[in-house]
Amino acid sequence: MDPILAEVYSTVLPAAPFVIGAYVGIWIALAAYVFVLARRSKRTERDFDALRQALANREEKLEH
Amino acid sequence: MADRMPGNEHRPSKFAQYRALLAKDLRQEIRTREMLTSMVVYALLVLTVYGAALSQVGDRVQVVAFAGGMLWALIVFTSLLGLNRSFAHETESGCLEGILLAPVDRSVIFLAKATSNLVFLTVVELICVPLFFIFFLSGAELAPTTPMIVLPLVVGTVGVAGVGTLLSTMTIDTRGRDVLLAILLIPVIFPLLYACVSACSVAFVGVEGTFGTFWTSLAVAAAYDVIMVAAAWGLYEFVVEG
Amino acid sequence: MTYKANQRPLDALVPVALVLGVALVIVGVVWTFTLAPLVQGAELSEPVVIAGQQVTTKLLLSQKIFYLHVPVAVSSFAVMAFAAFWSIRLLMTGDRAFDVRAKTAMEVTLVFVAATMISGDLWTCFEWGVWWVWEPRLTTYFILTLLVIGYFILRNAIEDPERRARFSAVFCIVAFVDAPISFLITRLVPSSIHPVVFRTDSGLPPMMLIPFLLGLFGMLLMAFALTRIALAINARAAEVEELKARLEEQDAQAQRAAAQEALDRLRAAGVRVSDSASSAHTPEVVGSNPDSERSVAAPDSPSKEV
Repeated sequence: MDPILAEVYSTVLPAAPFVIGAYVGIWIALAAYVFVLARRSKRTERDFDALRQALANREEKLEH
Repeated sequence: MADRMPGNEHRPSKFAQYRALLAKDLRQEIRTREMLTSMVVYALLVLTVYGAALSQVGDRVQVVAFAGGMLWALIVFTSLLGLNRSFAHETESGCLEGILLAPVDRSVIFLAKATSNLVFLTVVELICVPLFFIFFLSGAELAPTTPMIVLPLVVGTVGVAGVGTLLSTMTIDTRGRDVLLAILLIPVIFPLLYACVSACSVAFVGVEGTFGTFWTSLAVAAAYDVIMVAAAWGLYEFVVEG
Repeated sequence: MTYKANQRPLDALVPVALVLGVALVIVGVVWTFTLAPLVQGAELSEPVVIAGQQVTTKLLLSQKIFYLHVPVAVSSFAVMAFAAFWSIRLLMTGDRAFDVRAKTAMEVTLVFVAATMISGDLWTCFEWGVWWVWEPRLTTYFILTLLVIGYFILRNAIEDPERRARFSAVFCIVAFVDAPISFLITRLVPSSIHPVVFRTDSGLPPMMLIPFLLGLFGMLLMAFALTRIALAINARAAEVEELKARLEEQDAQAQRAAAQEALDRLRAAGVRVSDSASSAHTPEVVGSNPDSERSVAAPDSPSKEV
């Protein structure tokens, strides 16, 4: 490559990992939160079903 | 709380309430001197740590350049201790509930508490700043503008007392209250700290053209005080309810 | 007092907002890397002609980070504004539904602040060559990070839900007022050590402005969608916690009632024993002190019947 052009773009390659890292980092932060939310949602549904079950059992016992 | 008689028909004026609460705090402290002594001793210990930290610095480094920062670090650490202690005896003896039962306006409680904290901090600073000079700036060439550090010290202490009163009221009853106060106070106080350190540094070094920075920093710190202390005052009633 | 996921018409917009937001961001990013011109850096030793234009400086790739970094930063502050708004509403009305909303908004703020810190730190790292500089932008965002983390630590330290809601609301408002002050102060007070380099991105040419705006609106929409989704999940979790607490309270009450009943029966039995025992048996038999809570029948007393 023409040496001047090489100098013009000289910072591009060293910068690339940082740029990629920044973009990936942003997406990782967002994805991590989505993951946490999904897990919380699953746990909440599980708890809700268990509670409903417990309530149903209790009502049965009362009827006896 | 002998001056709060239950059968009192006329509610005293706000200023009278303020004066009574403030007097109670000051009287308590003058009688026991517990908090002031611990704060002064703590400040001495911090200075000792500084001594160890700077022991290898040698003659070539100008301590004056970062004296402003060191002084303010000392003030912040001592304030953290003082803010917690100022509430400690009240929660222990159930005083706070007593005050809340009386028909006192919540914002008056804030003013009284903040003022007493300010007074205590000022007293401690009056002792510690000269000590700081003795320990670390004895041999240094101090600029003639050094006395100007009084201005940022005053402005900064007002801010720390105001915001610190609100935050320490929130943290007294929690687990790990000292650490929690530090975690909350330091980020909130950071802009003020930054501005005051800048102003003090300029005053210490005293180079001719830099005083624009001094006045800018001071103005900015004063703006911080106005805004944040007003916010703390307004929010205080939500923090003191039973 | 509870928040139902499908109550508000706003929620119909959520999937649309999410898709649109992601789409906008992707378009913005692609544009950034293809059509937007590179920004100028250090001087070249001699000028050169590229694509018919004279170029006198090196061209920087690292500036591309700006296209997503600033939108993420702005979004974090926008979401925090909502957190502060809901905190104010909580203090005004005392309705705990606002606490769930404020907490959710602060969670999303934390995520976006983390994204800002990561991208900002990587950008600064490349430009200055060091991992951290106390320059205005990074410092302000670091303080904001500490404030948001402090919010969650405060929440964790308070047991009583009502106090927790109130105190976190107060701190959220304080933090929200503090953040712009921090921003302004670090810029207005010049630091005598580091020369502060201001990235004056004023007057972006259209080729650069459009991907930036795409990224900005895309991120804002994503933040909105994420907040709404998180709100639905958190509200549900709060409901479940409340139900659990109520069931536990019922259980505790039932247990206490059963225990009280048993104690009463024991006492009644004990009284009967003492009447018959006072004539014949030794005084250590139960019932000699019918008022004492500890009057449990002695194991060898034959008339003990529970």
